[in-house]
Amino acid sequence: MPSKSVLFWLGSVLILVGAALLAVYGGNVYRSAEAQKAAKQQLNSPQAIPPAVRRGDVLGELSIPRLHLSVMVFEGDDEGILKIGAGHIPGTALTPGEGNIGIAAHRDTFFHPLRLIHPRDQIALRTPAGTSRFAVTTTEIVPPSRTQVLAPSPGRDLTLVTCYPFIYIGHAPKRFIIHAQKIP
Amino acid sequence: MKINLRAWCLGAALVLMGSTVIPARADQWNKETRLEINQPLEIPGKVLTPGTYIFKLADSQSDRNIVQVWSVDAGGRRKFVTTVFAVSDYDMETPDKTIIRLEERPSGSAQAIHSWFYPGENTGWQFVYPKSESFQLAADRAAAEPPAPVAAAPVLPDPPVETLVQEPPAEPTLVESAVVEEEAPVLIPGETSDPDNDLDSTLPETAGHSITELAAGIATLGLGLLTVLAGRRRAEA
Repeated sequence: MPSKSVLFWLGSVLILVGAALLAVYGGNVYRSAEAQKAAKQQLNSPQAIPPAVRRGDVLGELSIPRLHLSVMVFEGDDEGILKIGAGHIPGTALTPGEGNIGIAAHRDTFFHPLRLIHPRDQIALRTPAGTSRFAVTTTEIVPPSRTQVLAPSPGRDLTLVTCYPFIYIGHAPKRFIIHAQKIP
Repeated sequence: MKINLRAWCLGAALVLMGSTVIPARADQWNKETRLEINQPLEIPGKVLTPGTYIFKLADSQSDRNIVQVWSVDAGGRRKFVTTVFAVSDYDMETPDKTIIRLEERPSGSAQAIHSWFYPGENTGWQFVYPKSESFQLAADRAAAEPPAPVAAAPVLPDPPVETLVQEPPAEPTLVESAVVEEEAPVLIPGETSDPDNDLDSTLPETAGHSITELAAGIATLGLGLLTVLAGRRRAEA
């Protein structure tokens, strides 16, 4: 049976670790909120459309009104970008109507509401060039290797990517894909 | 009491130090290469007219086989041309300059870029074309005609040095590249493939750990409080 002092020290260490984990979580939430706020301000301010985008550039705002989902989209799909918002997958189309735009975000933060998406749900993508609207056509669950989902094809103008299952500890084994078509 | 307070401060400092490690990121990793061509050259989905072009990898950590092609006008302004979903290629010898290998095409057609190697790396990128083009060339070659002489590849070095290296006759022909395609299916824009096929690249990692951090934090904190409480009760008993 551990003595009272051992229990006290063990409890203290656990409290510290727990507090640290919560601090990390809180810090991430705060940084993410600040980044979203700054990105929205940048999008709302008049600006010239840059000829080329670089990692971290603000590309626009993605929203799905029915799911009350609204997230700023940055260029890039690495961990640093996905911590602060949704990321445009490099190599996919940038401009609505010119191919298949690929956007990814974490399943447990910005894209968590996507578990409730339905066909024909409307998606809006606001960029400095204007707002484009898309309608969800299909969803699918694929292995991470199936990058064909990002390939351009007729009627596939926007593809959202997040991990699947939505509730899962560790690296999720699948990807949840939403295809949408641009509404003229 | 003093000892306890000091220990808490030490523990907090250690935990905070551990949680502020920031992952490093390489500066130059897009392999940007400037090419000048003086005859039309085909890349998947496009034919590049003579001019100056930039080949570089897309800024993706999850997929290092996405090649972006930009044209550069006389004023130095860049214009996006296309994105190529390439596959990894390998050469036994490490080149000391940029290598662009060409593929044969039926007479009258523009030659096609087969692969691109960055200086100092023996892993490059192979461009994959729709099978119809490969089969067309295979048919042409099967017509018992002598192999079409491959025109001299355009070479216009521009610092840093880039050279278009002609594909040796015995090196990949379109027939061979068709076989390679069969062995290692790759993503060709607009073309579907077997979902069970494994590609070199993967979709972005979007798992996230926020919920895990939150749940682990609450659980650990709760367990710690219970443990301290248990210790206090034992002291009272």
